[in-house]
Amino acid sequence: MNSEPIKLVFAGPMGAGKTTAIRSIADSPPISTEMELSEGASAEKSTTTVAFDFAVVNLDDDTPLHVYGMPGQEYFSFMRRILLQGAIGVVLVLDGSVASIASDCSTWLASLRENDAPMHVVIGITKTDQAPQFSLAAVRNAIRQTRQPIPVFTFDARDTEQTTHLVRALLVSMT
Amino acid sequence: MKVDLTAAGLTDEARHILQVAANLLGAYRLSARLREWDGTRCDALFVDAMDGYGRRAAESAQRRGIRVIHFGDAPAPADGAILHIPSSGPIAALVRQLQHLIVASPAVRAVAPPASNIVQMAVSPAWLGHDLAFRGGGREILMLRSSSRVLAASLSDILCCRDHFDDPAWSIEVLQVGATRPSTHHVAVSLDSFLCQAVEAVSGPLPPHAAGRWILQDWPDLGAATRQVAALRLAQALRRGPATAAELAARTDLGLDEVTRYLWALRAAGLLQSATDDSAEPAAAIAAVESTAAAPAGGVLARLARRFGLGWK
Repeated sequence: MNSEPIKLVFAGPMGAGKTTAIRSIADSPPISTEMELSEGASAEKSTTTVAFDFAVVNLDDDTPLHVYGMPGQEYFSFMRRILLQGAIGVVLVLDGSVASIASDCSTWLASLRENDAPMHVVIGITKTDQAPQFSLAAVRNAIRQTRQPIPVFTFDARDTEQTTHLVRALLVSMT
Repeated sequence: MKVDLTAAGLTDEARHILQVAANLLGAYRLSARLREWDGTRCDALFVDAMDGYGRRAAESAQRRGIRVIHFGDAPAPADGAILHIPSSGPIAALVRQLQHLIVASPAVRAVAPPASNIVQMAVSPAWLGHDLAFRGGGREILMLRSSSRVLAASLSDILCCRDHFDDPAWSIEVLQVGATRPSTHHVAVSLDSFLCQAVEAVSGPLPPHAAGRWILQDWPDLGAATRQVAALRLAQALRRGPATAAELAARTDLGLDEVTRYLWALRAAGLLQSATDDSAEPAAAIAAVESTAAAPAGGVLARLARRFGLGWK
């Protein structure tokens, strides 16, 4: 048995679906530091993560995969370097229903580059089912600017299979 | 490269000879598996056309566009669609014939593949680069290559169109630029995932791709194609640089037929370019960028892959 933990980080702006995605693949409910939203609460989202989410996925030899969810708010940006330290990769979760998705993508990729040495990243875009006007073209353009072939998928963060597939893409991109 | 061979109605001796020849294909770097015909897709079916079960299997395979070889010493039946390889010749000659049949001459397919919608979508000059509408059976989907999305009035319309994508009775038309989109089309899914799933429903083999190397312009959106793990591996293999279909099959350990299918899907999605095409240069530059990020150690990666259903050793 190898008990040394491995670390995977879910990053992205507030409300994109990081906690939901982590919950869909974790072996047990994530430990979350959620607080009620002081403003902007809706029927779909009334709380937000204020420190980080943490969950465990056990591998076949009982090695724990520690899954962390970064807080999305900018005033918690100091947490990013701490959470990224030693991570094998990042799942960047973006909200496909907002008009600013391309700039969100650029901002977060730049932030990840600033906070850690080069790291494997995969991008998952949520809520596109609520946005018929959503176009992947703008996000692909933003990725091309980085000159890194980062996989980008649309996915339903509530769906275990689709979140798992996103992690598969991250692993495949490491080969 | 993996090769999937099946047999029906052969004598024990002929089956044994074929098994030995299939094993010896390893000398040509072909990993051939010989199994009993079970009605599923394969690269070639070997039958004794004098045997009743062999004939029925051959008819069924021909209907699906699978190449059929009469493997025996009796004269070949008067059916031009069935090739004949004698089973009593030298084993080395038999191996060469198999190798030639499988790799060197894809044109020997017994039945010409039909002009699939997915192939038309990939190569038809009238459709290239355009958004398209796919209609039939009172249903309609809009395939928007400009945004990599499929729009429809309902999810059942999308699933039904996916299942009928190769139905010649259903039609594809170009959507005029600036045309008003139906306000009822509020369900959206990934075009890339849709096509990778649709291509699996196409019966029979798809035509081989033109000689030359291919390059992926962008990563395909495979978020909803959770069962198409092979498409993930193919996309990553294309990311490593331009490659032919055969090279991709070797890189990924996938069958040539599977590689061919997904390449057609990616071409139809507008993501695949010929590496010799001048316009492909920016994509080639992207694909040539090697990630500088460190990957976890092989053992860790293998454990993660097993846990998340990639099945690596």
